[in-house]
Amino acid sequence: MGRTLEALAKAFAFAGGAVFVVMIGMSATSIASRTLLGQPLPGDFEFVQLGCAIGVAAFLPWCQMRRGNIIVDFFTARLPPSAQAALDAIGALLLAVVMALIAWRAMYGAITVYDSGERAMISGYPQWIGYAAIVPSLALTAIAGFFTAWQSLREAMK
Amino acid sequence: MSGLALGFAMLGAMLALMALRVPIAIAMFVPGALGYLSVAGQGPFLNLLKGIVYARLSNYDLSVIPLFLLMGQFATQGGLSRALFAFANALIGHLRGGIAMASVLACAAFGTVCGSSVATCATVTQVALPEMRRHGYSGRLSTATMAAGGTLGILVPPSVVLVVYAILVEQNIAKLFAAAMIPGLLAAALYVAAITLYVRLKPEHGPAQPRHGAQELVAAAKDVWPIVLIFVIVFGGIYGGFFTPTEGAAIGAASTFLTALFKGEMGIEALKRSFLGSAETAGFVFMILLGADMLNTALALSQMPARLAEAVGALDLAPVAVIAAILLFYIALSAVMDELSMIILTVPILFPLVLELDLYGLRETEKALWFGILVLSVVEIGLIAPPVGLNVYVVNSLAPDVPMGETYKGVFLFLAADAVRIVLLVSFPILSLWLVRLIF
Repeated sequence: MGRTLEALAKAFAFAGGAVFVVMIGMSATSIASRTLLGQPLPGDFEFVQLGCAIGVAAFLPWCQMRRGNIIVDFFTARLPPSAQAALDAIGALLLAVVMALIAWRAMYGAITVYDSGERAMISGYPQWIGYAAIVPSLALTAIAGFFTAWQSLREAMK
Repeated sequence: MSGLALGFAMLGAMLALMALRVPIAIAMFVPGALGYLSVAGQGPFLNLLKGIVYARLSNYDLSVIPLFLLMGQFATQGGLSRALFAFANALIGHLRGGIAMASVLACAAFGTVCGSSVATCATVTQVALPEMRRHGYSGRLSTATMAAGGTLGILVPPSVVLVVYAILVEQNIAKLFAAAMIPGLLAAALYVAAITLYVRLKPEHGPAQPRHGAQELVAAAKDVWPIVLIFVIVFGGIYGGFFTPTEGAAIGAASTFLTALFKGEMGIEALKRSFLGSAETAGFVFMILLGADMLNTALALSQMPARLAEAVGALDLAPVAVIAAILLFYIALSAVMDELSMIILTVPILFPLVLELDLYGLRETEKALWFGILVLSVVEIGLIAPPVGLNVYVVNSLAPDVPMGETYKGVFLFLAADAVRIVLLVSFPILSLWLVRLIF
């Protein structure tokens, strides 16, 4: 379970990185095209927005798997490790619940935007793509939250 | 419950959750969500959540963050710090305390391709610290130099902290980078001055070395020019109006990647590490931004920031005293919190207050830029000051033979330099604004 989830979160992070590589390529093309040919790629900034949303969302599960979501440990540094782990379990559980809520609502957001048929102003891609593309990442982050909560709980029980 | 009471209840709940090790992003999100729910009701709340995430993640200006993070990762994985240090060391390493000064310069230079302090600190330490120790530098001076030098990673643009600040206060990122340039150089200069002074008083901490040959300098320079070129392209492009900061970051990331590739230090494994490293940092930054969105939406309903600004305005304090109080508050807060969380949490509440103040007759934009530089300058103090200086931990993990107490003793030297810098920046806004006025 843990290993599969870790591999999946890694795969999402690599995919996110790949999105940014594509974005870098597109920016370079756009700059070259408008300095050399005098015409920018139409709607390039809309694709940057789309890419940023998809890429960053794909980074989130890995961040939680690594427990990268920053905490303040100043006030609890002197507690025994098991008490710290118990608190970490609660923190990760809260994170999981919040992410699950967000993922669920973002899915409805995607459906609403799909129904409205909204399109990007210049490039004209359908807006729902972006809204829908972040949902799996958010859901995986929620799962990562539940998993890390369970891990911390086991540590606390030791 | 009145708006103000609700605001304080949310902030109180947030602080309690934070103290109990709940991730900062979630500690902000949960009270914000409950507050919003109680004021606006369930329907509007569920509706708000439909779009809030995509709206935050698809912000054009914020896309500069993952790109600059990637650039920093490529520079780190590609070993660019080695070339920078070798060059600075060949230049001034022979002076008394010279290798420490060279380390500071290498950090400042690395800061131009990396927007993170901890990354700068870790990567330059790996090359510079062994060199200092090998030449008989004391553990105190060498580790403290690295911890303090690392803070130049965020002081010298590009800087993730500045990007986040720019978005929070709706200012131009390019202008903020320009405003940070001279203060960043000032920081490096004062660190070098502090080292000079220290080794004059205690020469045994940083003995002089034989001068490096001209050949060595030329050889080192050959490895450094790509980094200079990247800097010129990125910032020249942004200020020349050829591209936006986001595009500049994209070009910077691409050229840093290519530099590392040609140096033979970028393979598939290094690329994977770069992606994962960026994911970890970008992940927590955006999570905190999401949490802050929820909290700030609810706080706006409670009208707390506006009321607070009015209340402080009614106190009729000297404006510079208010600024000084805010900066001291930041220094205290930086002892327990990381710099990004601090800024995301406090700037939306404190910034309206700062705008109300009459500060040297500055216009609104200039006030925003200047305040940003001040905040940037104080939040990095938490990275090196006791009780928990993150950079000190990073350096100490790389120098197990030096007790942490020794590092902290050395760090006071650099904290004194920081204090001088902050007083200068508060007293002379022109240090932050001159370059902005020149360019724009």
